[in-house]
Formats: sequence, C-alpha cells, structure tokens
Amino acid sequence: MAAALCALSPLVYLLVRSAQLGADGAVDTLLRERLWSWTLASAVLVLAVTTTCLVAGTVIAWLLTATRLPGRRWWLVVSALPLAVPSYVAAFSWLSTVPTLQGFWPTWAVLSAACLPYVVLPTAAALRGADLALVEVARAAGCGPLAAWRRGLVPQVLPAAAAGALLAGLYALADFGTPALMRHEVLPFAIQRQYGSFLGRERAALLALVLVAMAVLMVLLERRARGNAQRWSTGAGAPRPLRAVRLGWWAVPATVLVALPVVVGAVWPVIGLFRRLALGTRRTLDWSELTDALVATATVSLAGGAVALVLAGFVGTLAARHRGRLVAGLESASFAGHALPGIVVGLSLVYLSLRVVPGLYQSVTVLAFAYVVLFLPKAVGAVRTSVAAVPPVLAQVAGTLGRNRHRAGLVTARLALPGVTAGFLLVVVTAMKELPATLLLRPSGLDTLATEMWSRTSSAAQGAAAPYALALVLVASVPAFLLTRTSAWDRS
Amino acid sequence: MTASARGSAVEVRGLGFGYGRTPVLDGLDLSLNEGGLLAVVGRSGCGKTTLLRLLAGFERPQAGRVLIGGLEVAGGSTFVPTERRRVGIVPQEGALFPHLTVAGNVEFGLTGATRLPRADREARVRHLLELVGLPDLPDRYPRELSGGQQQRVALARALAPRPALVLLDEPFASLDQATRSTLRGAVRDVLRSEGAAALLVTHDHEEALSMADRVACLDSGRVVQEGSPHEVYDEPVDPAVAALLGEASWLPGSVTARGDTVSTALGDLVLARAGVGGRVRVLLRPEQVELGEAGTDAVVQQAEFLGASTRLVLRLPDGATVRAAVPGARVRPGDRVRVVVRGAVHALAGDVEPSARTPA
Repeated sequence: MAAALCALSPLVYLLVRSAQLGADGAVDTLLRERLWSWTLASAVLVLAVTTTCLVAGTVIAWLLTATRLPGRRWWLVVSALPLAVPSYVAAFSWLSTVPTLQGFWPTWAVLSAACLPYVVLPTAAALRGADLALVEVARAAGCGPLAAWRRGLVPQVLPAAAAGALLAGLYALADFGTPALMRHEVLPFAIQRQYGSFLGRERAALLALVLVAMAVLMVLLERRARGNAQRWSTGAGAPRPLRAVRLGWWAVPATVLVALPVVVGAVWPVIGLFRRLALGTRRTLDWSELTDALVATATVSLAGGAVALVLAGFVGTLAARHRGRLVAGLESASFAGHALPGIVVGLSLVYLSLRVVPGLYQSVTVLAFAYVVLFLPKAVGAVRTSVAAVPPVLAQVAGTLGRNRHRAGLVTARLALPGVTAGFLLVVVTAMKELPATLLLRPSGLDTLATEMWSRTSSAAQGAAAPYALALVLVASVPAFLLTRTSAWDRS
Repeated sequence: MTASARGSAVEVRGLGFGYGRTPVLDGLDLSLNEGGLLAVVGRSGCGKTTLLRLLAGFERPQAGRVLIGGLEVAGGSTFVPTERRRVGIVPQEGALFPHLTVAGNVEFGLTGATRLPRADREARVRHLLELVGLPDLPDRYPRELSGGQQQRVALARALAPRPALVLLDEPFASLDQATRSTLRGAVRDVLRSEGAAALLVTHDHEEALSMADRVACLDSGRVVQEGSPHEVYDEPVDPAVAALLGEASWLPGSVTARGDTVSTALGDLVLARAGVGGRVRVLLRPEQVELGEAGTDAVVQQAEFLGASTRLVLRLPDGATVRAAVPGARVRPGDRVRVVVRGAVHALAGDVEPSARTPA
C-alpha cells in the first residue's frame, strides 16, 4: 500500500496545484499557441523515435539472431553500448565537436541511437527463444511463407518489441537534457523554463499534466498492441530455433545498419569527450569537487535504490506469487512512475514537500523519495520476474525438510538474488544519471555528477564538463555490462 | 501381513476439503502402516493431489483429522506446520534445489531444525547416495543430471531426515518408459531398506500395482476401495475401479443354482467367490480371455499387434464384445476364432450398464 501511495502522490498533487490556476487561468494556458507547439513537437519527436526504434530495432535484432552476419555475437554485446552513454552526454559530446547540430533531426538521431538497445536486446532474446515449429504448423495449415511468419512468428516476438518501443518512447517523451542542449523546444524543456519564470509554477504543473496524459496514452496503446499475445507458451519440449539466413553481399549494408546507432550513441560521443579532455580547458579539473560529486551521487542514489528495493520486495513478491485484483492494482500503481517523466516527479515533489513537510524541502530525503517514485517500476519488475522464475515447489520442499515458512522463503530469496541484485544496480545507476528531478530537488550544496556536468555545459568553460561526462559514462557502463552478462546467462 | 502388528504411519479420518463451493475431498478415510507403501490411484481431478497437499501441510483441511506417526497434525483447532510434520516429499520432476550440489540437496534436511554433527551428516548423505545408486556424483549440480538421476536424488533428499512418511507425487510421470520401470523397482527397494512408510500418488496403474503393498482407489473425493494390489485388480467393487486398474470387459450372466458358477455367452464360468446370485456382471481382464481349439465362436473385430502380445476386440454370437490380450496370436479383423476363459471370474450383482460395455 505504501508503495502505491508513494507512486501516486505526485500525480494527485499536480492536479491540486494546477487547479489553483482557476478555470480562466487554465483555459488561458491551454489556449496559448506555445503550449500546442510544444506538445506537437513532443508528440512528433516521440512518434519519430518510437517508430525508428521499433523498425530498426526489430530488423537489427533479426540480423543479430537469425542471419549469418559476420561477428553477430560480438555485435550483440556491442549494440548494448549506447545504454552506457546518457543521451544528454551524447548530445553534449556531439555539440562540442559539431556546434551546429540543433533542432529536430539531431535530437531525433541522438535519442534514437540511445534508445535502440531497449528494443534490440529484448527482441533478440525473444527471437532466440522463438519456436519455428509454429511457423511450420502455420505453413502446414495452408499459409504462404509471409502469412506463416506473420501468424507464427510475429506474435512470439511482438510483446518484447512493443515493450521495448514503449520504453524508448517514454524515454524520448521524458528526456529533458538532449532537447535542451540541442535547442529543440519540447514539453519537458518548456516545463523547466516555466518553472524558473515568475508566477510560472502553476503553468508548469499544467504542462506537466499534459506530459503525463501523453505518457499514459502510450502505456495504454502498448497494452492494446500486446493484447493476448503476452502469455504465449508452446508447452513442454525444446523450441525449434530459427534457421540462420545467408546474407551474401547484403551483409555490408546490414553491418552498416547495426553499427550506425552504436557509433552515433556511444563510440563517437566517447571519442568526442576524450578529444575535449585532451584540448584542455581554462579551468583546471578540481579533483576534490569531482570526488564530492561522486560521493553525493552514490549516497543519494543508493538510499533511493535501497528504499525502492524494500518496497519492490513486497509488491514484486506479491505480484509473482499471488494473483488477484488488489495485487494487480497495487502493481499497476507502482508502475505509475514508469509513465511519470522525471521533470514531473521533480516538480510535484517541490510542491508537495513545500506544502506538506516544509522542513524537508530541498533535503536529501525528498530527492531519494523522488528516485523511489521514478525507479520503483524497474525494481518491482526485477523482483517479480526473479521470484516468479523460482518454482514455488522448492519452498514447499524446504518446508518438508524442516524449514519454517520464513526460512523456506530464504530458499526462494537465495535463488532470486542474482536477478534482484541486477535490478537494484540498475535502479541505483539510473538514479545516478537522473537529471531533471535532481536539478529541481537537490539541496543547495549537493551536486551530483549529472548536475555538475549540466551546470558546466551551460557555462562558457564547456570543456570542464568533459570529466563529469566521462565519469557518468563509466557509472552507466555497469548496468550495460550487467545486461549483456545476464543475457549470456540465459543462453547457458 | 506382518505390517498390521506395527504402528500406523498415517491415519486419515473423514477428511474434507474444497475450493470455494466445489468439494474436492469429501469424508476421505485412509490408513497406512509403518513401513508400508500405499498407492493412491484415481482419475485426474479425483482429489489425489489435494490429499497429498493436505498430508504435507501445504493446505489446511476443512473437516476431519490427520495423524502422522501417531501424532495429530491436523484436525479441530490443531494444525502442525509442514516443517514439524516429519514428512518427506518427492515432487514431480524432482524439484531439486538448483543452487546446491547433489550432496548439498541430500544434506538440506539435516541442517534444519535438528543439527546433526558434521561427520554424521556426511555419513548419512554417503549412505543415501549409495542406496539410490549414485555414489559417484555428490558434486554434480542438478542440471548435470538426467531426469531419472534427479528423481533418485530427490528420493535421497526426502529420506535423509528419516521422515515418518514419504509422499511420492507422480514421481515418474516425466520419465521415459524404460527409466520408469527400472526406477520403480529401485525406489521400492530403497524405501524398504530405509523402512520408510510411503504414499504414492499416481494415475499409472502399472506403477501402483507393481510398487505398492496396498492400493487405495479414489473417486469423487472418497476412497471407494482399498486392498492389496491383487484384491483391487481381481475383485474391484465397481466398474469404475476396475477401469482404473487396467482394461476390463463386462459380460452379463446369471448365477447357477449351485451358486459357484455363472452362465454367460462364453459358457459356464467358475466364480472366484460365492455370494452373489441372480443376474450379475462378470469381469473379464484381457489376459483371462484365450483363443483355443474348442470354445465359443467369435469374430475378430480389431487386432492391434504389440510385439509380445496382440490386443483383440472379439465379437461374440450374442453381439457382446470382449477384449483379449493374446501372446503370439496371428489373426486379422474378420477372422473367426474360438474363445475360452481361463481361471475363475469375479462378478458384481446387477446388469451391465450400457456405459460399462466394451466399446466396439
């Protein structure tokens, strides 16, 4: 219950706050041309990034699993690399080499490259586990080759691809840093501006609600697309793997397609950062400042991650072991953070802490709470899938061998541990990269790697941001590495 | 039966349980002597798995009592949790702990509530692994074992803490035919040498008849018949029980004046047990029906060659059909043969129900 309340509180407060605009004020804000241009810009960007990721991601996943593309195992690991580079770091690095990259197209390119792994990795996993027997059955039932693929294979892969595309879309919708750096005016950027302006806070709340509405719409669309295909099981027996297709000369454009997002989203940005570092800056690097930022980042995100994990332990275990309306509702509520962009959570917690617990305004507690709301879904997902993967019969057997209920539960916990740990690390590292909510909520004097980098990008001494950006890349490499390792684990 | 002189491993009286308003168990009675092996057979949905879950303490009964090793574990307000019931379980497909080695799995029950000294634990594990025929694999992980080996380890694990009762939940269901039959004998021998009482839940009648010394037949949440494998196979109380334990044909007949024979379409047959009279139904197991030089004329309706024997459906002159399993018969559908019945037969009072007739 506490978990659901945590997750939903920001939303409720946003409603209250925007109601303070009054009917006239709200209508006035809604009718502004600027609002619609921001919303439209956001919608177009999200649609473009989602479509790019869905189409290119599925094709890349297919190239990496079902063809004889040279070095495809290696490419699969490499294609996870953009996960290690936060999109705003990539944008910063591109801008520091090509300062004219501004507006829609560069924003689209950077975001698409950054989000492609969200589609490629799960879709590749789904294709690896896909059962060709279903395609063969469809052929035997009189379908032509294309229809057989559509009816036998697509439903096996679609849920993974759609879920990945949703993640990509939500990321593009919520991202504040990339459009801000590339001067493409979308909603999150506008919210941040309004928030800073005189009397703009109620307007910011209303804009945030528009953003939330768009996010919810996307979640619902994905649910519909997924439909009943979610629980596809062909029963016992080993699936018949896909036959690898020979590419011939097509291997050349295929390799280019696979390599492109990695170069745009990871390789070139990192090279750019090192180049920037080598050029030197007017300001010398202050090592103690960097260390302070690192310690602060680690403290806040570890605290947020730990609270999220404890809450997720309850929700996730319930969701894995007991299905029911209450549990399903609880789980959905804790997934709210999934659809809530960081800037919205930041904004609402500013209001909420000022109104309810003024003593905590701009304290580490509120910041950690924001991380809990934002990253609870990741933690719940990790706990649920890891616990659900452990057969309940094992705890029962432990019971017959003299373990009481709690100690028998430890067997399940022990087996779920690797998955839960990976989930926890993922939460902590995502919190470390978090920018918009941290900018709004951090106590004065507390600087994280992300905010330090951010403040330096807007100053004249842009080169000073490079060390922080590299530190962020280093930190973000951890879950990227983990992700490829866990998928390697699946294969054995 | 020396077992009757010993104490009882399990006593179940009037056990009731249901999900929602659907009763699954409805006043079930059962008992099992120490060291005995009781097979519980029944069609799927008859409540046999529920019975096992209630005995293990995974569910709480809604009526009745359960005694394990002479102690009441469920009944009235009493409910002893699983870990203090002294039951071991061998689930379907083993359910070995994947993070522990073979030795670690077997040792698991020795490191719980009762902590044995290390040397004793190791000796017990070694002894059990030898007993189940896997003395060389203590350091293997479950994923490195075959299905049959996994079940052997699961049995050793269940036996390690010397439980009062071992529950076997269709333990061979996922194994191939050859492994299944070697494992049956091995498991029975291991249980005997450990002197453990065991309850085997299965829907495979060969498994039940070959392993158990008592067989309980479940139908609609009750025990409808309980007895030795020969009793339940040869003298089932109704056609449903007969079908549960193997193929059966039923012929109408009437008991002769002397009361020890019954006249049927296949001639006068000797009754195994007197006591019924008037119109009866006569049970014929396939192996009782033989082809001979003399006997009743019949036409072969179906013939299924199985190697060791041929399974036949034979039509008698009065239109009734019987099933036969005949070694070495080389006949084809349409052939005319002569049929005799070997040995005494079992008869139930009443007419043959249309549903109990052998389907043609």
